[in-house]
Amino acid sequence: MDGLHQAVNLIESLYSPQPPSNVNEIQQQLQAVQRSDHGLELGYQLLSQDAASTNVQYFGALTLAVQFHTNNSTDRLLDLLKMNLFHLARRSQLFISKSPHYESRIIVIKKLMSNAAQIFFRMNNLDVLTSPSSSHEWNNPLDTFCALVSHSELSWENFDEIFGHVESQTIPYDRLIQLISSSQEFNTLALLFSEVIVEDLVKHQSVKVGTSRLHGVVHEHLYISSISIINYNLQQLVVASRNNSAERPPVADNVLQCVAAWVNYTMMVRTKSHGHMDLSETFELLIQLMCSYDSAHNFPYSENVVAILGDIFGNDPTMLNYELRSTVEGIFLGVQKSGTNNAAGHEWMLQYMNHLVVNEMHEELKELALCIVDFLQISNLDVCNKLFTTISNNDPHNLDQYIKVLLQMTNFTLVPVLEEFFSVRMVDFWLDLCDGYNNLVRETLKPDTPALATNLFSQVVQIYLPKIQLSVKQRICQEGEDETLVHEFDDFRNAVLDLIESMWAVLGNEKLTDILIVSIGQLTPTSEDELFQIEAMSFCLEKLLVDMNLNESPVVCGTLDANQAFIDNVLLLIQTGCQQKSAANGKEAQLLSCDLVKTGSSLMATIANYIKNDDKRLGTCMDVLFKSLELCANADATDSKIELFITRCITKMCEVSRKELSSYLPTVLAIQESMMQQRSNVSDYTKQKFTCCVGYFIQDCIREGPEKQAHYLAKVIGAIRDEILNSANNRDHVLCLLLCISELASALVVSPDVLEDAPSTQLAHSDEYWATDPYQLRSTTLDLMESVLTQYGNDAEFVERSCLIMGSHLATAEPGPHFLAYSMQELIGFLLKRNEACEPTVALPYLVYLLELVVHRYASALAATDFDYLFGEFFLGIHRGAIASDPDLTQLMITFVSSVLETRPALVVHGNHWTSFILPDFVRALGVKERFTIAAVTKFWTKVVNNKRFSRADEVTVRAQVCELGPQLIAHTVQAILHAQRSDLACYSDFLRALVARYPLQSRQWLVQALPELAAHQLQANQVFVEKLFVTRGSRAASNAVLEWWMACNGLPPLTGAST
Amino acid sequence: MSSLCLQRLQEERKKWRKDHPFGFFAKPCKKPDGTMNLQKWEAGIPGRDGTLWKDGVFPVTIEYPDDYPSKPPKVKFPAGFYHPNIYPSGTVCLSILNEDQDWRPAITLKQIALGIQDLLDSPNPDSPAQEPAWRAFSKNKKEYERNVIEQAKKYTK
Repeated sequence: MDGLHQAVNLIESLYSPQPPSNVNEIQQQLQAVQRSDHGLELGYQLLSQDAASTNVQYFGALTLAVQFHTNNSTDRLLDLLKMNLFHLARRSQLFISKSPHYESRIIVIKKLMSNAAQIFFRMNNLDVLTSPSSSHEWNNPLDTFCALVSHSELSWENFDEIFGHVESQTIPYDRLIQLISSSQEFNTLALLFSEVIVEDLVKHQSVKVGTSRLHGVVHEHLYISSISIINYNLQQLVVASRNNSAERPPVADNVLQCVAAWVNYTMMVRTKSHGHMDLSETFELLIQLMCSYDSAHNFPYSENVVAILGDIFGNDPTMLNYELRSTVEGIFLGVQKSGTNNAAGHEWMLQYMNHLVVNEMHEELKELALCIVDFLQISNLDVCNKLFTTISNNDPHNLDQYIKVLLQMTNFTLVPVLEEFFSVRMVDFWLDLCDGYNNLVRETLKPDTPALATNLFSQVVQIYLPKIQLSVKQRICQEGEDETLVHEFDDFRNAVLDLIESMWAVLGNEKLTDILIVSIGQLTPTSEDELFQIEAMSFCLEKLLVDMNLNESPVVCGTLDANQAFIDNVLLLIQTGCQQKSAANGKEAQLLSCDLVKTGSSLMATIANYIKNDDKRLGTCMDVLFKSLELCANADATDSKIELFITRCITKMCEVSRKELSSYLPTVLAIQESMMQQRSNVSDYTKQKFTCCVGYFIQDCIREGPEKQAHYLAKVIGAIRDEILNSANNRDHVLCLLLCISELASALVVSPDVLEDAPSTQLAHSDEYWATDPYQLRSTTLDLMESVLTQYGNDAEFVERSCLIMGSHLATAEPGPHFLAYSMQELIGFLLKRNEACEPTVALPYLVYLLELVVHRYASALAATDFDYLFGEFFLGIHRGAIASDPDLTQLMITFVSSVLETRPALVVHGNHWTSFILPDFVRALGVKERFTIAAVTKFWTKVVNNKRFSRADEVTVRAQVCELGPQLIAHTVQAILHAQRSDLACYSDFLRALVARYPLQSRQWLVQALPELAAHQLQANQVFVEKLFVTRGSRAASNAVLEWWMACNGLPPLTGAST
Repeated sequence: MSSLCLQRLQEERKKWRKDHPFGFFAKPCKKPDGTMNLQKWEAGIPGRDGTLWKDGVFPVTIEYPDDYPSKPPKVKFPAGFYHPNIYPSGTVCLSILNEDQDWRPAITLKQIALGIQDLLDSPNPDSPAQEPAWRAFSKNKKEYERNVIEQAKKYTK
């Protein structure tokens, strides 16, 4: 770069509103100079151009910052400091003298202030201070700044001398005040500098460590000067506001910003133990300013101070001492728990609230709510003790008044979330108070406390119920606000639910559950508002009832009985929701419909056990639910969601009331049949769940004998079969119908309770009947699946579903009579047929799942030769190649063998494949790399060496085989460990533990032989490994031995503190 | 429970109640006597919009050890929860919940909840925790998606 002129031109181009096309090149060129040895000189020259633009001067200040960051030398730091301070002082003098463009130059001054702050931080860093070349201490940048700016003969030529004089000079308080009082601009700059330093200090803290000395210096020097300036300014504002409270001097913003920065810094540094920086006087003045207002309802400082106090109460409330907190309490609540009232302060509060409400200043109102509720929560435990216990004796009248104010604050008249936030935030306060009350030691309660608590929390319930009504959501939607507010309202409703749940512990069923039931039952809704009232109460009630066993709550059931309209009103929620869910009614109606149906259907499902006790009532409910379902047609997302809610409710009702709803079977069958049609609009989920419901009813017919069950089942299966055959090419529809059969089969599984209660003759008759299967349900279903699989045999989902249907009877531990109780021959026949035709990667996992169930169920009827046959067919026949090349299929095979080893080991260990294939092949499988295969194969070997299900004969056979295979087994395992990932070591460790415990002598020998061959360069580690393994044998500590050896072999440092 | 643990959990509760992402919930469980157990929380993680998980709010339990926040909490979905990085027991496999990996005492409940929500739709196939979901995610996306959607229906919002 040729000269300053060229640099100025480039800077102007860089910051031009229409930068040239080579802007990147210019930027790089300028950056190179900034970082170079000429950077300091460039910065100086640019900042010395009084006539230059703000951009050029700012770039000069920026260049000094770049120099600061690129150069760590202590000598250079002092040069930089002097240059920066010189220009800062000069620019500030020009600002104070109101030279041309002085206002726009504040950005340059701010950058120079920030540079000075960074230099101050570094100079007070311990490393710099202990450096031999360091002879300078700089403790108070603000004092230095004030001294320099007030110097009348400031020039670069004499700056060394001036700086030497002011560098460590402390300005007395009176002089400091005199200086900032000398001009408004001087005052503004002093406040700004203080603010910049502490703001940068907070940022500096997040990235640096070892700043404890710096905070000490700040506390001893900068804090004193800054707080002097701040408090003086605040006092001036207080005086001014007393004289003319509406007027707000221009410096007020600077003062409050500076206060906020200091509060923020003090909060941060309090946790770092640097003594106590007391801001009490500042807070006192702030509170006075907050409460100042005039007769025309101007509140010049309230919003700012509320924001500052809110920040403190939300983060570090103890920054305000007890006296100040009591003052604030008096202002916010008009009453103090323990002392005198603050009528004047509270009057401000009422006026300010009124001002915000009248002028619809909702954001400011929200700030105030946050501030007050955060404040209240500070002393929640204290409030709790004072209200409810004998621990403190307070004036009862005062406490009554206190409670009254709290309740009034909760019961703010505006719309929650949209217009007011008090009720929203007060949920937390009440929740804490309620939890506090529930946790109190009962012996400490005052005699009238239970009544007081009941009364108080009952009022809270009554306040919140209207506030969580959907009418509020409706209003939010109507206001066209963004979705955030809708979400906030939903959160509010959920928070109130938590509160209701907590308050139940105080109010109990009598004062809460029963009252909600009665209130719902007493309404005869004729308006939207009443419907919303029902919804809000149902919403809360569901939360209370969901964990309650109504069969054991006769009082609640009695209340339900006594309020006949209760059920009707809940049903009305579902009906209304379904009628108004159409998109034509708008998004708002859809949103509310969803909520109405969700609340209504959830509550119905929750009280299903109660509803079933009255046939008429049950009938009414089911009719409404069916009719509501009819109105759903999957037209859009809302419609689908509502259908899902209703279907879930119907399923629950049918499951619980299968006996009581038996007369519905023909109707439900007809509905289900129509649902199976391809043209039906209902979702696949509803089709499946409805078939499940049909299954529940048919299952319940067991008392009337299997004949009746078979009759209905034949109808259902027949209808599904016809539909499948008619729409065979519609894959998704056919799959859905298969899922329906699967649901039907699951619903027909007899529960253990029924099995226990039913007479054995009845069960025997059923078993016999299904074995004969006069309606040929088994063969019909099997043929149907065969037919479907002919077309979709290589579609994993079809194979999976078919296997689930075939095994539906096998999945339970104690199977009862079942219409799909296929015999072993039928099952194996199906499996073999599918096995021949399948693509192994797609279908084999499902077939093996079913095969495992079959072997598990019929283990006692099988012989080792049978196992050999099955193993050969499924794993060694046509799929052998695929299995060997696919680790997933290898794992499938290993897992299958392991499961048989767990069920009946004799089937495997006495078979031919055991020695000819399984043992040698599975030894090799120890070297696989895939995590789940490693887990499977190590589990297999663990089962081989340690299996409690082995008979004596099995044990003898296997022991001899392991002894023979031992060297190979260990060699493969150790080799695998060497190349394993750390996270896989646990699998191998488990196996080694078992082997060492069961074969201690042999395994030591095998290890001693194998280790030197595999890890020849780790002789010492090998020796330690063997020793540790045998010292810890069988225990979990063996894992550490394996890990340490693995780390040693892989060149990793040993674990510190590892056990020896 | 140490006082540090208690203090931090109280702070977490306060922070959560004051500011938590929409659709999530988290609260301490109640002991049988009705008092609050701050070391065990129940929470709900909503599936993120526009993902396969969007229709559900998935329940988790969060158990804080005595030496929390030095040690991370244990987060569990219901046993058998279908996701490649959730163990069969329901335990979540996530680096920020692993003491040996990315856990830091400064990590908040909100960060954990958002981290789990993120994990739902962005499984890490390199850190499998259960076989069925991992296998389907790696080899049969269609099956994986079907199972996820089915599971979301079980936990509908």
